[in-house]
Amino acid sequence: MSFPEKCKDAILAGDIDLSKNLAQKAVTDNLDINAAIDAFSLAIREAGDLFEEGEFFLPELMRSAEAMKAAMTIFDPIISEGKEDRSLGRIVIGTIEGDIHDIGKTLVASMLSAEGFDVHDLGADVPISTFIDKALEVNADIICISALLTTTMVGQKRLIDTLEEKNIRDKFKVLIGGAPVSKKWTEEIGADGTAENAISAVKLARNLLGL
Amino acid sequence: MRILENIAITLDNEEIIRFLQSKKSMNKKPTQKMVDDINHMKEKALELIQPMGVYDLFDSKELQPQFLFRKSEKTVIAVCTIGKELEDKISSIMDEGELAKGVILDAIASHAAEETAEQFNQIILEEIKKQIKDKEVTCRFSPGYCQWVLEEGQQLIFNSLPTEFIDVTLSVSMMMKPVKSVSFAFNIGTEVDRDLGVRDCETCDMINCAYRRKK
Repeated sequence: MSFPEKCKDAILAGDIDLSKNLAQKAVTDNLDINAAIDAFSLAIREAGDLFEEGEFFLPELMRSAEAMKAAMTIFDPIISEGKEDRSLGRIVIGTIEGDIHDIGKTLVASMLSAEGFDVHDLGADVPISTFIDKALEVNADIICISALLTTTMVGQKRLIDTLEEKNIRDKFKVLIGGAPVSKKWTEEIGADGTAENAISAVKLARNLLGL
Repeated sequence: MRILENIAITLDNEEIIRFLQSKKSMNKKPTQKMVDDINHMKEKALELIQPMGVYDLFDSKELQPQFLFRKSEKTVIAVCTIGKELEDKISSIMDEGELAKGVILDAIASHAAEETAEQFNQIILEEIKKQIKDKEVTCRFSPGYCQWVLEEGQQLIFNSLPTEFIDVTLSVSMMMKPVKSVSFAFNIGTEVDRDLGVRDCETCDMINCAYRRKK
């Protein structure tokens, strides 16, 4: 079995130890690190596809994400030593102030991170100013803002309004998410998109950045 | 006003799995490993769940908005919860990066909250059976549904009940803490609106809801 096939099996099986061992072997055997990471990346993308196609249940997808993260813990120090930036883009994500629902946002953050984005997860109950300050600080490409209640999703509009007031709306793509969010609401507030699950969110983020 | 502690609930794997499916996996059977994981975590979850609730009976004519209560004579207003321990456990597990365990436990918690509301509803009906003799009773309905504006409904419920006895609080954004809590009402009368509170995925407006049941 080739190395990419082994990576694929490990990720799809959600085998954390095997993924870590394969990553370590790639380093020890002086394999091309970029090619090794690509093999893992293809595998996690396939896990996402399997979830979207209904072949995977959510825990299986999450186990694949955990395995991907385990492999990346081996590669990350090497990537940071090198000059090449492998990050697909920088994303600031959080749940809006007044809302403590966290899990949906965490799943999106995990899948974005597994895909290769540099994700800054601010947690839940996050003030608009914190989203903006962090996005400016890390020079984010995308701000993802989650809201699970009709009472808190108005915060998504306030974020976009504030970006416009500060004349920095063009600096960031804004993705919104959460149970009450509709396409109509997305258009109404001028957001750049919404997705119905974590995998769609990853695809949308890639599309928005032209990847 | 009545407070009930230790509401007995049973957890059904099929309902838990419904929270863990994508729309396209509705017809797919989970692997035995996943079922084993669910069973294992159900045991853990049951140790942390503390289902309890508070309710009281009110004159419907004194409640607003009247379009929800005008055909009714009495209205039960209630809040129930599974407590915060399981929620805290889920947060810590997710923080540690154990995402698969976290989503399973969260699905169990969501189902447990629904089941607590169902069992609490049945217990209330049993406790007030003398008062509802020969009357009709609606299904339960909650703020945010049945055109009951979330803010209006939550304020009415939380101003009417001493929810501090079951440790449920309402935030300024009308969110209940613990999150896995349910607030609801149901109407009693000789000529109530029987369609009120009928919870049916087919008639629900949220057509893109991830948890919409297949027909």
